[in-house]
Amino acid sequence: MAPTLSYKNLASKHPDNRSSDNRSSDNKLPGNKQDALAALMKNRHIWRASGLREHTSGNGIPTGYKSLDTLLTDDGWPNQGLTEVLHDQPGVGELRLLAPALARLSQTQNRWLLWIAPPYIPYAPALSNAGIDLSRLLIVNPDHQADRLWVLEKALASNSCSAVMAWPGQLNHKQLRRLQIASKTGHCLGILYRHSREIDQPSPAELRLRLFSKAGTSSALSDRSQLNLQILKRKGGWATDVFQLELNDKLNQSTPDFSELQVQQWHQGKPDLIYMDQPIEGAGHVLQ
Amino acid sequence: MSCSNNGTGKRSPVWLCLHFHQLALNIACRDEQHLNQPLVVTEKQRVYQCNFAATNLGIKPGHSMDTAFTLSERVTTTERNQDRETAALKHLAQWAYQFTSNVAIKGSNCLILEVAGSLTLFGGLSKLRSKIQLGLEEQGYCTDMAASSTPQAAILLAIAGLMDSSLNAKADIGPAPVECLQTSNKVVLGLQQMGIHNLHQLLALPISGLARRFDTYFIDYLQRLTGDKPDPQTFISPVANFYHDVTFLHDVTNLASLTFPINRLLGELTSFLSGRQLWANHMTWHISHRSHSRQSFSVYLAAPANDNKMFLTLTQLKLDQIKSVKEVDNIALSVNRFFPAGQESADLFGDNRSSGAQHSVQRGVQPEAQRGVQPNSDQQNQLLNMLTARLGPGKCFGLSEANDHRPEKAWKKIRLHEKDYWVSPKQEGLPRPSFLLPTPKALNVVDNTPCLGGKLALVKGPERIDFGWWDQPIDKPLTRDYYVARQRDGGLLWVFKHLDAGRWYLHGIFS
Repeated sequence: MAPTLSYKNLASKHPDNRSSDNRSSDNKLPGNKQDALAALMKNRHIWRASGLREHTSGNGIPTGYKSLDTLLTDDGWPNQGLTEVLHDQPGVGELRLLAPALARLSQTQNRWLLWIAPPYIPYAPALSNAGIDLSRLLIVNPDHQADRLWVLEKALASNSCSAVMAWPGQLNHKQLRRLQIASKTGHCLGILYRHSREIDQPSPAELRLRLFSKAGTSSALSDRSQLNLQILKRKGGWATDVFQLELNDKLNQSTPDFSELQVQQWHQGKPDLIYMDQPIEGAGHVLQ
Repeated sequence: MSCSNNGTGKRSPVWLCLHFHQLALNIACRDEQHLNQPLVVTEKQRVYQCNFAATNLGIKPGHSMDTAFTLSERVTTTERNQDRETAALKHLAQWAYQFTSNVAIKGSNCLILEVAGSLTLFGGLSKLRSKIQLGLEEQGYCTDMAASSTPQAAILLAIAGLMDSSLNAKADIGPAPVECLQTSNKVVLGLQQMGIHNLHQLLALPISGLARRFDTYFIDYLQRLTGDKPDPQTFISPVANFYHDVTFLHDVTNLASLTFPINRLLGELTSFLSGRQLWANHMTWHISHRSHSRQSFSVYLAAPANDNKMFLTLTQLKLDQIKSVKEVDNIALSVNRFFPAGQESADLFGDNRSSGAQHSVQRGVQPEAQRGVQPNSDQQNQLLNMLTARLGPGKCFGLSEANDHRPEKAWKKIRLHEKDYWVSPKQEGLPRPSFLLPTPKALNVVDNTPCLGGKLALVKGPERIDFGWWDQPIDKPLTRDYYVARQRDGGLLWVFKHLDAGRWYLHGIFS
């Protein structure tokens, strides 16, 4: 999957983070040509093979995973444009992957998080535990595919959603293109959950990820909160190999941490002792 | 022009009469501007009123239909309907209520408004008059307006077409011809036979002499006309609901061409609402045809508003979805529920949290760039309005936790205008799936192990959740042990064992 050169509507401003050897090669040219070249290099529409860092704008939405941020063009999820997440079935970690970013968006922006046609009931306690502010959350369940696409396009372009997550079913290229444009208009993180069989479809999305479910039963206990993923398409970079990502959920603790639990219960159960901030720490140690 | 005080500090009344001299014609062509096409309203096979194009062809009120058709074959005719005129006049009276609370209906085509109290608010009589004129033109009504110090004088002047007045009844009505007097034909004839042709001449006569010649009703009328006798009026009371319609001359087959009448009705709704300082969040449109049953559709707003453009957008969205209507000859708009205007609606945007403070501590976010994309709540409401208009009221909702330990009941839907969020205390140790199945799904069991696409490996648990004895029959305890289970291909599931029955169920997915 080759990186595309058609970056439209991108800001021409570009942080000056060129490497020093670039600058030394510039120095050999006469003054006006050097300026022209420098101006050209700053243009984000020109892709240089020297790497991802050349194109970063730093405007991305941090994913919450340091190792993933470094692989993404803008140090995070694209803050506008489509992101496609391809996976085989629900349950591979597709929401847990996005949860830190959604939590952050819900807490920092006064805009909706819109979920369009999720396959099951999004479970409020889990979302709340993940730090998502539920009062920013909006679920839309249209009956028909046409309505789904209509809602998706309107919501993406409305500028009143910080993120739109959709399970849109099958889409053709023209529809994807329209959604991509809508998402750029509305400055909105647009996430499409699609089936892995759409992997060969050409897509105008900013970012395409594929999530793998781990095949085989061996060592099931050791890798349960890891996610295997592959970046199929990103701005200014090649597709990556499959890599592993450690998710920050608590599912990898096979037994609850009882010491923590005790402190919590004690804290909640005896409100008359809450003012004693210090002893609670101590109490935890005693119980350990 | 200003309202003058009569020395006692009491405001002298200013009566404004709106005379709808072409009411029947105006009603007939409310669906569009029939300016180029000759249009005739008939009554008993005679021309009752005709529009400008018809007058140009030589058609005059009183002509027989044969004469009209001889003059032109292109004439469109429609029968006069007095019920609709009465209804329209009532509606106009309600509309005029936005200018003053003292509105009365006089005769079949006149409204009188006592506007002395409103002059300061609207910036003088002439401004008020042009505002009324403009509002009526927008609705497709033309009117003659005149003001005077008594109601009857205002009516007389409006009918006589004498628009300028000094707000002194006796001085104003002088030039008016006696034909315009609101009295019986016999009296008018008698006056003319006496050689009295205008009010100047009439008012110069001594009242006692007139009293001998004419009946007391006429004398009473004259005294009320000049202001020598008080003339109390019965004012309308504002109606609680909005209902108005447009009837088409020709059947409309293309729903897109309904835009003009819809816009007109919405304009009337908007002035109805602003006149009463109300907002609405739900309106119903009725589309009918004489040979089909009436169809209705409703438009819902996320929050009450009085916003013409928004109403129009939403109505058109709804209209696009209507497939089954073939012909329309009448469209009506009704609104029955209102909210006081400006009241902070109980919606989801109560807190306008500033984002700047939190941004500054976050990595890689430029507060300026982010602030540029913060929407106002109008924009957010607009999205919600469009979603509810197209999808219906129940398809769009928020989520909240609920105060219950049972997984099925630990969440609830939040309707758009509610703000009933409940946040549970954090329970770090307990895993909860991001997707919950609407009903638990029974799992097959092989070798005491639940299966779904192969055996499931239980990786975390059990967490015992005892179901509410208060909701259950006492002899059917429901106790569940919840586990996080791992599928062979890596999917994480939330399963439980129903302790009593010993069966396994799938309840959620850790997506």
